Amino acid sequence: MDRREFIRALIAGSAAAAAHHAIPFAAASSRLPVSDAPPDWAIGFRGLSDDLSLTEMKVEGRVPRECYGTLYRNGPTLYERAGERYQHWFDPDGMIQAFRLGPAGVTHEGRFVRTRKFLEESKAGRFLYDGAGSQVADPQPASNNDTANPANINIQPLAGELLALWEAGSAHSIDPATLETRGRKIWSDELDGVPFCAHPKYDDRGDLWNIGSVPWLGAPKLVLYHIRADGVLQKTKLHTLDFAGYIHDFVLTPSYLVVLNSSAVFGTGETFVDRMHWDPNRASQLLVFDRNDLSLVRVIEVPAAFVFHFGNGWEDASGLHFTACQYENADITVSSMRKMAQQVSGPLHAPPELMRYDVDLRGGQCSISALAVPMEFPNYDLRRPFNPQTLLGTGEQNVSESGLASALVSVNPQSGKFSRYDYGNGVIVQEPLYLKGGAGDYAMHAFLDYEKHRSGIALFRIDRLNEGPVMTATMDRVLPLGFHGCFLAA
Amino acid sequence: MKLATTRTALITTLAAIGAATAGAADLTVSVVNMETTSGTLFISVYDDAEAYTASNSDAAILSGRGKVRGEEYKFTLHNLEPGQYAIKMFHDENDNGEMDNNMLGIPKEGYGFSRNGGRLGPASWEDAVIDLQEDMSISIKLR
Repeated sequence: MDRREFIRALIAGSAAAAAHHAIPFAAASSRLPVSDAPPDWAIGFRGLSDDLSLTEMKVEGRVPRECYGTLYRNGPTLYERAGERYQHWFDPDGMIQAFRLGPAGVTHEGRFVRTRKFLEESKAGRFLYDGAGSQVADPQPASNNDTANPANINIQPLAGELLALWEAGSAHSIDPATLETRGRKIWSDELDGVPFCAHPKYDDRGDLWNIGSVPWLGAPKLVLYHIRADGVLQKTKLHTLDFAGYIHDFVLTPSYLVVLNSSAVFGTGETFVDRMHWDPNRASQLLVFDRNDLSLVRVIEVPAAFVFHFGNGWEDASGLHFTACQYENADITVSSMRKMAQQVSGPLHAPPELMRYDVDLRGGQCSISALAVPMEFPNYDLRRPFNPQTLLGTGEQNVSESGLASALVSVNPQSGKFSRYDYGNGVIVQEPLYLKGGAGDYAMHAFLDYEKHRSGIALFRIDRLNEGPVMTATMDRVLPLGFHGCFLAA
Repeated sequence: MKLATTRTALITTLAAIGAATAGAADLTVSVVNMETTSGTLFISVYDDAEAYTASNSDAAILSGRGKVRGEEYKFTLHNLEPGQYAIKMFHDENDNGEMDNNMLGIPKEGYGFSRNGGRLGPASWEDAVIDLQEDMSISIKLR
């Protein structure tokens, strides 16, 4: 055979592409010990190893007819294999929880997302791949960023299916009825395996918009997605960023996508999380993209900021506006989420505060004001995504013994009207969702009662949060604390 | 040295280069963990760190391809001079003649390296190099 037949261009070309393939996850193992006596709240990070079959929950109160439907939630769930535990809340495999509300009551079931990682590691009986914040013993080489995709952050509907979402890889398609995993969602050949972040946004037509952040592959990049309500990719665009700030969520307004390139910047480190370095002296950037062609139309510097989640965005004659649950720094990710997963007590981060951003696009100015409300997991009425409106969220993490939220809170960023219901110590409140009602709207959230070792969901009238839940459904199962989800009406 | 397939291997077009050398050794390679049981493996063998790192196939001592028709692909490199070697390969699963990447340049098809080293992306020469002094069998797990 002639050596000219060698696959010079092919091998060279492919290897050149791979050569830029940086390593978001990391090397040698340095596991930390697990405390012998974890605090009571730590059962929320104990984890599960098996799917959860259908069970009936104990209902107190009544499920209003307009609240019949299913609450789907996702979160890190499988913490341990072969005696080895993950060390960061970002890492355990995702499980989809389904709470079904109907005339017969409330049921619950849970099923792990069958990612490639989950299937391979189940077969091997041990962890094979390093996580975003954890190193495992004898890790196997990963093919690409999807190899270690745990699909563990969010679950959202699109065109009759559910998408189990991570932020550094593909979404996974989930059957809403059976919770079975149908496989990775591939929007197009060129987008196969490209990060699809965990917080897509719906516009008022039901179209889905999203970002994909790639700070770990050479020059930092951001992918923008517009997907029609029927699930078909409409357009996409790849941007190169000025610096590799951590990006988790974004804001959608009638005309723009707004992305905060944060001041937690990727540098060197053993793990993806270790590589995140908070730089208080580096201005963050608000990147404003035109929805029409996904082009970058404005870059506005703002003081160093770290934000996981944003409220909704709206526009008026003065510009665009949105809210953000903003932290003083990136300690929650680099420190607190480790302590939580390791089930150890210790000082946690300062809680996030709800901030209002008012952006004058013509002048390129932004004013930021504190609403004096500690809040996380903000949610709003998806029927009015572009109206200023009351936000729901979790609160009181600044006073609870766990350092996690013990209260359901609401605040209107226009009027400042604030309402809350605090369960007090013993209960951890999880992301509330906004449900359309008949006589009035409802808030629904999952919770963990770590004193009684049970999990549940609670339903509130939004205009009467302080009166407490109108319905709770509980069960003896202890579900690991999760992140995000959606409610689909029956 | 000579490159040939073993009995378990299927058709290969890998090259035969050089002549038998005293003290030469055979290196048998088993390729596993392929996503599909079809397509073509593109294989390069290097004895030089610089050429390996640069994927300079002109400087590869061997390059070739083999049709995949099962869950394992096995071949033997015959009569290699004792020394250091590293192998890199990719699996052209759809037989379009190239390694498919997404818009970020991340491979969408399987690839692998001798000693299965590295964490993500290409293994370095140090992670992939084999010190061949006598007949040896290795397994390359595609990632």
